[in-house]
Amino acid sequence: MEQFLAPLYALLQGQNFLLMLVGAFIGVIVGILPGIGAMQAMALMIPLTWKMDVIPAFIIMVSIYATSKFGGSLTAILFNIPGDNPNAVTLIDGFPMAKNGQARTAIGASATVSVLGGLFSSLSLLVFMPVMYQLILLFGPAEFFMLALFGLTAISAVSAKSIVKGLIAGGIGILIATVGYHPMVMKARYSFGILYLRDGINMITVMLGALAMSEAIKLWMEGSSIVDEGVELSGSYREGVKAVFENIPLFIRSCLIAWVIGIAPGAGSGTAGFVSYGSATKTCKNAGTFGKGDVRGVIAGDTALHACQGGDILPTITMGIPGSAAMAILMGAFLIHGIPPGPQIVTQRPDLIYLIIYTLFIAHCIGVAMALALAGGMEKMTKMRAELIAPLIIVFCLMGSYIIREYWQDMLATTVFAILGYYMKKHGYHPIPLVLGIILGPVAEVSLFQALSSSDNGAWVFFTRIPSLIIFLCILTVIFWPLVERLYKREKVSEKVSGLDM
Amino acid sequence: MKDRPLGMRPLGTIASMLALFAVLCLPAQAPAKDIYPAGDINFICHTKSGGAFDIMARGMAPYFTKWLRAVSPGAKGGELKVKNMTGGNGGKACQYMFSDAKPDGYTIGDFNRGNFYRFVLSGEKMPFDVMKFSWLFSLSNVTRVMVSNKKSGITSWDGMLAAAKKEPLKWAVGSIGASEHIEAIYLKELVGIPAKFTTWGSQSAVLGAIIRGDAHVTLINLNAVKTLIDAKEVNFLVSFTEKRLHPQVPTIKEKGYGQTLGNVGGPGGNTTIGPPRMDPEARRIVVAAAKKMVTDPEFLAFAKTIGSDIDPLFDKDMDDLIAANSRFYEQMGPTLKKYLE
Repeated sequence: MEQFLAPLYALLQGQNFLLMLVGAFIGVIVGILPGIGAMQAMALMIPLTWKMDVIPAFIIMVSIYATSKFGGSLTAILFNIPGDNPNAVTLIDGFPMAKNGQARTAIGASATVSVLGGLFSSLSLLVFMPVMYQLILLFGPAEFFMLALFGLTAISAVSAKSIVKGLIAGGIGILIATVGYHPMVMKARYSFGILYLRDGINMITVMLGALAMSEAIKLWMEGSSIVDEGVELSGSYREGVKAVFENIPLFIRSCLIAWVIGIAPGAGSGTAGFVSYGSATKTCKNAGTFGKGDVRGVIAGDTALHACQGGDILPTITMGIPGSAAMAILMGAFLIHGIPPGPQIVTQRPDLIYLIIYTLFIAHCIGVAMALALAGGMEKMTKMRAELIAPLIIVFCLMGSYIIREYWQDMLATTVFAILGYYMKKHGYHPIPLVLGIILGPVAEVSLFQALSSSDNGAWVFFTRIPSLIIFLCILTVIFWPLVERLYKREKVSEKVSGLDM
Repeated sequence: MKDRPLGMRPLGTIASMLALFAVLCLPAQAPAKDIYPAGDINFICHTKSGGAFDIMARGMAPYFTKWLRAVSPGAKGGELKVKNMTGGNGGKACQYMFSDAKPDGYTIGDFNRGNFYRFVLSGEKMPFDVMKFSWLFSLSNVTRVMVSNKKSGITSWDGMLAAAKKEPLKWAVGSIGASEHIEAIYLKELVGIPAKFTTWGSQSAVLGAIIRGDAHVTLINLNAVKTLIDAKEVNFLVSFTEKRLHPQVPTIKEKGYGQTLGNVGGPGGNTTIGPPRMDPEARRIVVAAAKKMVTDPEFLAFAKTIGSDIDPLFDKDMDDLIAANSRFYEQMGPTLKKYLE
């Protein structure tokens, strides 16, 4: 018991608690700023933390990691600016909610799932650590290919009025994602000999342009504010919290999907968010409201962003296999402090594991409180005139796209995608399928490549592995279920009609 | 949607805010006439934050600064600012270093030697001449080991050769053309191991494949797999080192392939370089500081914690290594083409 509680006591000590506050604050701020994420902040922290004792060093690193996602959700909801790639899922329904004056409800829901998702992350770390090896065996590339396909089925739900237009936009997104070096072979695709294109078009560059900057251009052209003059700011945090508790099955489902994706090295929270969102659009009742400001979209997407953090940390500390770039940095921090991650850490340094678990959860709560304190003022900005808010959004987008890699060409690419996004919206193409294609296209391609290259039976690998087959059957179900349902209803109606005739 | 003409005031706001941002982004100019180093030194890292190269760069920064100031009395600068410049598999950073970086000693960087040759192997036009860089020093080579899936039944080097004769092995590699892939091709051809390469994209994915049993064996960086070896989650077959790393596991030399020692691990090592025609005085000071740093017990302790065995090379040794790497890739050229096409 003492072993279990001592790290909590250490975390709540004056200096450590202060460091957690600092880490949480940094996390929220880097989350809010477009282009900068937890990874960059954690990398900058490495030289500062390495002279520290191991406990404070981990407190600050994990706090930054835990809180950055919610900061990004805030700007995604209010201004259509994803703080980081994964936050793109938040704005699908979050921003339409803000436009309807329901920003507080969306933020309330996002904050609640952030805290509960953080709790789930922490508990999952504790519970599944001993069986990590068996879990890794369950999910291979075949399963991830199927999961990516499952996520892509969300295109139909977020395609505005036309599924064909949605599929076209999704296809363009997948094509854009193929530009640059193929992750497996050393050939550059569609680079036309231009060095900039060899590295591919950065996802966040596209998102900032196609989603946020295009919206700013639209506002500017229309001369309106984000929330129209006649619309009241009617939402409340309480409604958001209530919405989460009314959709507990959706929350649990999103947690499980995200957690599974989190333990796979390289899949990332962006994939988790979109697969979870895709699942919600296919399994919830009245799915027609998704993409138009449905709080369930915010719950599904944001739950996944936070719940996958436990899955992300798990293989890093128990097997020394980082699940994401941020985890690679955390692993570096382990090494710098002379603690090699691996199965032995569970027996040798259980205090550190408990410390990470506590920090992950408590920092989530603190980060949410900090972000909510900022949210009030930011919400008022949604009522600002277009002449004031549009330039701000445009400048933030351009700065964000530059900061990621410090390429001026990224600013140009953001502008090009902003114009593309603006005209897409104007002609009834929603840019979200484009973003879905960009995020899930590479996951599907890489997994397909890996699965086929390691398979002894060619494409049968997708159907001979039980988990893959189950996901495949789920895909078939979500695609054909509406058709079956319609046929069934039609049959019932015709039975009734024939009954009346008789 | 109703369009209206763009107002000029918002355009002015955007322009002035971006101009301010541009001014803030401008690098600080080093005072040229002061004793070198008088200002910060940009240290280009071709990998993302958090990678092995990045951690080494950030970790060594304070020691390097300390010794720069020590070997150049009166110098007030020398803070190493790590700048991650990813892109084009290291090509972006290489090109920047070759064409854009000033040779004044205020821009140096750390590179994976294998990256220089990727362009040659892919048949792309190389935007720089490898031999014209200012080669400064190399801190360590990569230590490669060979491991197998623990349920594959392959528990030793000899067992692996026997298994491969029955059925070609599935040999996991990160990405095609990466240094560990080139080294794997070299080893496979030299020893005559029947095997099929399966590509996984990254070191993490390779380890996942080995653990799941999607691949039988892999040739990998010791640092990446050490924890799994210690936890007996993979079978350790052989090390590409002079001495045994584990009492029960032989070295490749013991297995009769001692000639592989320089070539397996060698091309994947990191090297610190400067732009072509780097200022001779700055170069002398940088190399002198590095020579001092590798004797600094605190730096050595740091390197040990991140699993990096410091085995430094300077001056002629450095030049010989580069020449040897170039020869290796040149000789491997026709064989590699067979695999890469």
